[in-house]
Amino acid sequence: MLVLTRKSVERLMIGDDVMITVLDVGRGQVRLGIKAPEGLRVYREEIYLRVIEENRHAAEAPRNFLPDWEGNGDED
Amino acid sequence: MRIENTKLGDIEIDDARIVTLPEGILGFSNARRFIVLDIRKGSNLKWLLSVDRPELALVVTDPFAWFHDYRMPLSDSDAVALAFREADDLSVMAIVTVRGRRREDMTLNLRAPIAVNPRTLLGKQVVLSEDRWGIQVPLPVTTPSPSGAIDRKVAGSR
Repeated sequence: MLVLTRKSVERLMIGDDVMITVLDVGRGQVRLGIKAPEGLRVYREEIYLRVIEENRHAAEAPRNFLPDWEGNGDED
Repeated sequence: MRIENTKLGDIEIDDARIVTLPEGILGFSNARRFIVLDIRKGSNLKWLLSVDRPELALVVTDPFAWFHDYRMPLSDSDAVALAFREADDLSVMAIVTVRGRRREDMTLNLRAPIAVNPRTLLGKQVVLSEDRWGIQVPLPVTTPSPSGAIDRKVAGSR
């Protein structure tokens, strides 16, 4: 892993198109500004991992999962 | 065309209704083409089947039918991905995780809904940057609105 030290307001370039700015360094917290091309997806890692995990769980839905209440009130 | 699905068997689908998610959904990035099928007529719960991966079938629902204050802000890059124009409607689906047969065993992922532009049939799993809506939100006890709402809601503020 590449390790770099940056101060507040200093930037990183990743390739030609991605710019990361250190906006603020506080107590145990860093605020970053990210400028990236449209279409490049930027996620907080923990959210990214949780969504992947949840999608995988959701894919395990059994064929006959419909519970008894389903259909109550939402059918004409 | 006919597709094969491990859960649901051989199914004839209408090619004109195939939705393409160029980025796939997170964790299944190589499944790009999907079709939405009724589980039961009139139900708010639907199958989202992968056309490409026979083992992939997810349960989805219209989040607006269950949560009337739900909002899905569409970012500029999302709008580009969906080839979204101002006049377009947007369909939104929340993925349902089924852990058992009881109501409390079912949760909605409201943090990462799938948005589809019905005009272009392009879709994207959008991860909302605000944490107002959770990934495992229990289905409300209230009876949902009639299905069909999925097509008439437009995303919230840009």
